[in-house]
Amino acid sequence: MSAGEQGIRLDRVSKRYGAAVAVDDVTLDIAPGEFVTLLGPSGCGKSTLLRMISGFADPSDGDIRIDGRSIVGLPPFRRDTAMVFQDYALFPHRTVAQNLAFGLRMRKLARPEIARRVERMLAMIELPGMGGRRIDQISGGQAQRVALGRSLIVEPAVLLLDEPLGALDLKLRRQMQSELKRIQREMRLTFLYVTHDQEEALTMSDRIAVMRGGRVEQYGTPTEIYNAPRTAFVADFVGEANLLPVEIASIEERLVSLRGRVLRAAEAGFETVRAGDAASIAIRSEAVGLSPPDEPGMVRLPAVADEILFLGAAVKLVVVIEGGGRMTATLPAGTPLPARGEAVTIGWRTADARIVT
Amino acid sequence: MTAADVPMRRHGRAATRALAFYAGLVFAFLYLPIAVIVLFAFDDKTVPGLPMAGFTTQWFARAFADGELVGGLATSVRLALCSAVLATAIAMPGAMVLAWRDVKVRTVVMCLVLAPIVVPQIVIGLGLILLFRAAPGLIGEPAIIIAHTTLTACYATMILYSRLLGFKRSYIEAAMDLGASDVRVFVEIILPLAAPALVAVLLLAFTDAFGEYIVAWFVAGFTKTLPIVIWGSMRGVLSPAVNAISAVIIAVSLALSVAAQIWIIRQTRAGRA
Repeated sequence: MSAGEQGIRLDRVSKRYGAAVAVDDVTLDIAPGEFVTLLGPSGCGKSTLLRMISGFADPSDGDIRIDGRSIVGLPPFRRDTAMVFQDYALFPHRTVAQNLAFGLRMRKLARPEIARRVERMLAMIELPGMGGRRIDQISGGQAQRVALGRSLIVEPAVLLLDEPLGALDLKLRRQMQSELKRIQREMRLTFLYVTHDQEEALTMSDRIAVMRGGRVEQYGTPTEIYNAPRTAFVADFVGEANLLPVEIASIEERLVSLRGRVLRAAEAGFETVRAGDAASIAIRSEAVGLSPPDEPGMVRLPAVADEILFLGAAVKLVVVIEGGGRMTATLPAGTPLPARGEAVTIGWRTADARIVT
Repeated sequence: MTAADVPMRRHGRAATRALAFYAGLVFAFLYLPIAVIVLFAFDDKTVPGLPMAGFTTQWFARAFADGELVGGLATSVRLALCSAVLATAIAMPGAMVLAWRDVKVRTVVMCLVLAPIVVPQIVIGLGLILLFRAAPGLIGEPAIIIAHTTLTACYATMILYSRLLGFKRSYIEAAMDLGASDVRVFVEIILPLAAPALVAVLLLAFTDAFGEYIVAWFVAGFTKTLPIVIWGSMRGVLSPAVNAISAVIIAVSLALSVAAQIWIIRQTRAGRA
């Protein structure tokens, strides 16, 4: 433990329930004021990790520190964290204002001070004058704001959010995403956000930890996660990627063999493999083009058009490539499209095909 | 429309009539014994029976002038109140543990808790009188309170347990997360949200303890609860005053239970987020 250590540090944290491992040796640093998202499918351990930080579960192994001080073993009410629950957990026997005031009352603040801060919070969550409402008299979106405000009002060092937008419809969710981001920026708070929605993670986060099976697969900025996935899982989970199984043909020349056809791939990723290894190349669907120009730095493959899906701003073309295997290309709307069963040529730039393991 | 609706629809009016007749029979079966008591409380004969001789309220005056009856009533109310509060206080922590903690032998514990319900009361009475030989000083009011607490605490635990199962754990976690200690969580969150269930349990335990005769009789000593007084008076000539006091009790308990139901429904409605 170093003096002057700032932010949250998860140090080789594990959580086991009997023989089942929910969180497996996770090490993660979160800087003060950072918006970090734990992203992964259900059962990947992201919520368990959050519960260990908030104090509702104890790690089986490892240490959790906030600003250099271990918080393991402290009860939730002695931790400088606040949690926004997935079901909001607003107290139904209290009004909106009473819900907001709860944390301040527990901290034994003076009544006028509590009233002042509740008023300010009502303005901040854009519910002025709604303090007297009962919880069953407000909408889902409003309840979401109250839940957020109730946690923010105690000015925690870290705000933990467990899929807080999961119950909202798409439009409201988008709106709340930018709202959350604004509040986090304005209050300069550390947000630790849990979601299984990759789009949400990409939009809001400073850094994303992609989790799978209790482990962190990759920790990086949204750009890194999206453009430079290190594993097939990350490439597949974040965005839509085509994963083609290949064999590493040559490290020096960055060549892979796709069912006997030798292709060149991007440089990154080759450092972790050896010639002869089985791996995959990941190509984002939007990096795949139709009838690409025949020029250096381009990979071209003959294929047969199989399905065409209209998405509005874009079109998805699913093709079967020569030798078997399907690939998806996301094309801008207006691209002249082949008919089903028509032979086409698809291709991508060498730099867009990354080795993942 | 479900499959069950179809025959109902086809038979229409006849089915509705049959249902009404059936419901009438059920309610008659349930309420005739009670109605008869209330009716005869107003009968102007020393030995009540049909046909009624005339309308009178003298038995009510008689009942409230009868020191033994009124004394029994007061004793019963006092003792039942004590047992109801004690039983609820014992049941609540047990129910919380059973509902919320990972109890390995939950089924075994639940069966053990339920045992006093399935064991015949006469056996419990016998057991208690043997037990109280070790502490003869308790025989009388303390023993009755203890006995009724034992009897009512078991189903009080079960009722609270089933109510607490549906309690959102995140309420508790949110309160703790916002800085509430265990005690504050209990006072600020659990008690108010469980209040309807607690009131229901209190009322049920009270009425049960109030009317229980067999077990109380075993451990009563010289204490006379209302059921003991009434049972004692049956050996002589049954005074219509007993009908009168019973009618009063019926009226009061009906009013109480209706008021409680209304309050509980309101609370539950307000409690739904």
